[in-house]
Amino acid sequence: MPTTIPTTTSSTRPGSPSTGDAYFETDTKNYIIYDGANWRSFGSNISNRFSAFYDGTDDHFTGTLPTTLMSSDFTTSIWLKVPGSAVADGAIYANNYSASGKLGWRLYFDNQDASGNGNLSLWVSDGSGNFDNAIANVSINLGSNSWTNLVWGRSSGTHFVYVNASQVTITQGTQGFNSSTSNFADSNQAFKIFEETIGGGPIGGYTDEFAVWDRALSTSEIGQLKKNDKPSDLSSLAPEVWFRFGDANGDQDSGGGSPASGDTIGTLVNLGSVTTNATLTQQNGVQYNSDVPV
Amino acid sequence: MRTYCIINSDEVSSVDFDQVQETSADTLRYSVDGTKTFVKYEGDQPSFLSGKTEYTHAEILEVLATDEWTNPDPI
Repeated sequence: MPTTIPTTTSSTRPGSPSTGDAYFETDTKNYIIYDGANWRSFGSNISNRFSAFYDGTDDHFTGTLPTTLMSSDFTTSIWLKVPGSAVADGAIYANNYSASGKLGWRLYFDNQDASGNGNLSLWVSDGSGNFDNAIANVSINLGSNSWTNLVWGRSSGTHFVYVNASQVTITQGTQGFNSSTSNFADSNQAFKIFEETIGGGPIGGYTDEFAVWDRALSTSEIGQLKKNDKPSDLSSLAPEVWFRFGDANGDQDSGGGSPASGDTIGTLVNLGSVTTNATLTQQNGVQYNSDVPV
Repeated sequence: MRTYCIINSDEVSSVDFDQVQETSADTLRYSVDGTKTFVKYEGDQPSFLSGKTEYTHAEILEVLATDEWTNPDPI
């Protein structure tokens, strides 16, 4: 005797599901089950309906990270989609960069550099006018207006970059001081995504699935961040910080309602393991968008 | 659809942040010399911006890409 599974659609999912609730989505043709925190799609990637959209004028995220999280080895992962134009120039991440008396840094994407290479760089300041270019301009596959998974981290003092799970060779540039053991999440942090003032910033485009680990992921683990060129469920990799930009249970728009494409982002829930001092707050109108990694 | 208006920095005190997308005076982006900033909104132009030139998204991006608004030094 066949069992008929109740139906829903990706835009009309129950707002307060119980663990174990299951539906067939008539628009996506996915079988979805609620695990208590996320909807999981049977036979495919983790359910992903929204990303964050930045208009490239002044919108960005401010946030906090636990002060121990990036103190030694760490890994960050984010999905990005940025156009191949000047609006793609700016800091992907920044924290207190150049701030007087503070250790700061910024991971910068320069789509319009002299060579037109779409270069990624990491600059670190010691707050006293000294800079360490820990990652000198390295060409990466951003600025193509397609979704890309970017991983940056540090292992035993050496930085590493992966683009779509493939490691990119990096070199050290100017070294006014050695930042290899610097705490990248010091107590004076002012963490931002798509920082709005540095260089040609802010970047305009999309981000999704931002995660941080308090360790250096292995090449094998980085390969697990994507599946069929889409974001994977990160639960088994146990990130300390994991923001899903509209797809975590409890994510809201600025009016306190459920996320919908075009809504200004409100509360974002950290699905990572840390329970304090891991926040992201949109500034100046970052919106949910239905353009997600495919 | 969002619309953008450039204002002088000394006009920030007149901005009703409930009617624009910007969060507060502390999150505004200023021109390189600090004399100008801008706000964005959806729908009708708020009354406190009456008389200000309105820009589309594409138009304001062109303005912001000039040296008046963007410091080309990435360091």
